[in-house]
Amino acid sequence: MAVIRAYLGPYLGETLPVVFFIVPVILAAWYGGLRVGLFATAASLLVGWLLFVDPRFAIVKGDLNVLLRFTLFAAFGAGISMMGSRARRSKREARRSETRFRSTFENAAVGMALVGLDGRWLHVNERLCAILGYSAGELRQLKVGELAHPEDRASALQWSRALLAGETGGYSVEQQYRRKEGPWVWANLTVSLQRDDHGKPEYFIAVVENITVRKEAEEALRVNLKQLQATFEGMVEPAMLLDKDANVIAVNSAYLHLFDFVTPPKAWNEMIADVEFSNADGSPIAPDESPFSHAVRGEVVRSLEVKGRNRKTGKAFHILSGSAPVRDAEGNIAAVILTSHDILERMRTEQALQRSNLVLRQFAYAAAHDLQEPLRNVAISCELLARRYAGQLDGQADRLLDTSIEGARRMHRMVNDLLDYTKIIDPSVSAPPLVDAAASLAQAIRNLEQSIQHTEATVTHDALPALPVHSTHLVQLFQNLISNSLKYRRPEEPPRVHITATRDGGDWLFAVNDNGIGFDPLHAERIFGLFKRLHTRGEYPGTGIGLAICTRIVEHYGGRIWADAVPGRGATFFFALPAGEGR
Amino acid sequence: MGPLQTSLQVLIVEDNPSDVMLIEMAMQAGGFEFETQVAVDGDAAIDHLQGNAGGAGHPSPPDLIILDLNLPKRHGTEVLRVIRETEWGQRTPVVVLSSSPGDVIEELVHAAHLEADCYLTKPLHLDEFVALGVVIRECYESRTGRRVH
Repeated sequence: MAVIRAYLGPYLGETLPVVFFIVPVILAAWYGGLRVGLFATAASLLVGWLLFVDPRFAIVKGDLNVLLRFTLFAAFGAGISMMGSRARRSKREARRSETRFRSTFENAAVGMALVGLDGRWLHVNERLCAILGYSAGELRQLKVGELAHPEDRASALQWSRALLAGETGGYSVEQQYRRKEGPWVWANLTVSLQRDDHGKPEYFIAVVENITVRKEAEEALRVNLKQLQATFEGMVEPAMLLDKDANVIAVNSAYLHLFDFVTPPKAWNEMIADVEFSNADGSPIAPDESPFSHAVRGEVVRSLEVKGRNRKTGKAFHILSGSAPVRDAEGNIAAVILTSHDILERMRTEQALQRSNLVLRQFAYAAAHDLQEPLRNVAISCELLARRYAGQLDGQADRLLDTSIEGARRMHRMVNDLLDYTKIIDPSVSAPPLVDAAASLAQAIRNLEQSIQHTEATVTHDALPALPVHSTHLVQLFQNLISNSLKYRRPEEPPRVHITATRDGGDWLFAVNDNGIGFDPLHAERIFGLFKRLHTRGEYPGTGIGLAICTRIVEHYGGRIWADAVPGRGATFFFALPAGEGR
Repeated sequence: MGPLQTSLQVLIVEDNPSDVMLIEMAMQAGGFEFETQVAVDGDAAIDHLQGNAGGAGHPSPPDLIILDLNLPKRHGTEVLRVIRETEWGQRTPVVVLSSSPGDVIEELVHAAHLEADCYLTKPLHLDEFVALGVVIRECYESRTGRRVH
């Protein structure tokens, strides 16, 4: 100290301690902070006061000038210490902030990058590296544009320009990026621009989120929907798929055509704005009774008859409407499928057929009735003629008159039979209940009682089922077949008729077997024709209507009738009738 | 319907002349003593009946009516309606005689909400036709409580 004083003293004089100590104080304040700075200041003041100001080692000194200088020094020291402290604090905060940012940046669950204004990756986080499949080092060699999908490059460039021009604060787009290996990756990219204090652009901050899974799911959904729409389009039947809020998901052109729509409606509301729906009887459909409402409640509608028309085009429709809910994996109703089966043509055809049938029946009825009168006139007039002029005509004339009378009477009978034949099936009669075949057979036997007694016939049967046939029809069947057996009996022995029934798939197969004269199997089909006979009227009377009526009855129920025989050894008539639910 | 009247007044509504002849044969065979009036179609029958209903200048209303259904101009049921609408017509026996089977005839008449006294089908055989006279007589007698001579 004495040396310093000895050498420097003459140059610095009383200022020496101040100048000498100022540098350590500044250094202490700058690096040590407030306390160290203040301590250095205080220590410098003490040392300088005691050692460098005369009289040395004296506490009290008389020089006012020196006191002022030391005061200034103290103020300076304190000031510099406070400044140093503040600088250190802000530096620490800056460092902490940077650490925080770095930590956020590095550990972020999304990819993050700082991108230079030239498009180079300046800084990338691990997540981004994982997304793109490159190391940070590799990425820094690349420009962003080189990884972007060619289709996305133009728009990315435009956005960057808008950012640089200050037209936008940031943007967010969904883009595809090329991975180092493997397929393209879908990313949601959010970009903002970092500017310095003067507003000069420094770099871009990019946040990259991998949305490939979502995109793939969306794509799968889109493919599903496309497949669904293609399936819909391929359907012959009109169909529409709606979500549960009644927005149209898919609709086929058969549906559009049926309701006369050119462009597919977006929602059910658009449908009912243009199309009028009503029940089959013309009454309006209650809102909660519509096929859509049923399906949304989880109910399935199979065939609801609905009529209506397109109000704009006037096109009428008549449909069987069906609907069903479509449920998601959790079983919640996600959508509703509506189908429509066009029955307009069928209804028209049915009506035409009904009219035609009615006309035919009226015709048959009228013809039968109107034919009977002239035939009766012919028969009776000839009879009158024959009787009045009996004995006055020769034998040939008598025979001719007899033939005329017989001809007219036979034709009269045939007309009557024809009437029966047309009347036997009444299409207006509803589906029959089950009828006991044994009871029908008993009735048929009662009806034939006289003939049975007369021919001394025996009619027997096995167990017979119940089946859905009108009893009058079954009675008629048995009666006609048994009556045939009695008529075509062998003269030398009384007729025996036996009836059996066996189950044959969905049918009951009946067999009526007799011991009569039989017939040549060659004629087995012919005998069922209207007015077809195998024998002369002289041998066996009849018009040949019986088996034709049997055929008509059996075919009315969708059954079959046929016969098998050996001449002279009896015949068996078979008929099969649907068993329905019966046993 | 004077008490001195000896023969029955019969109105035959029938367009077929040979049937008119047969009906007359049958009634003779049935023991009737009668005089016939013939109307050959529905209109003629109604004219005849309405003329009679007026009374003046005409013979009395018929005691028995034989009515065919399939008539020219007006159907037999319309004639029956006119008959039943008159005061005397409600008491007069009406025999409906037609070519159709008996049940069909009855159905036709009932479908028109009318009622005849007897429904008969014209038979195909001469003998059967002639035998109808007895049936008509029984119908007349049971309806009126009178006996045919």
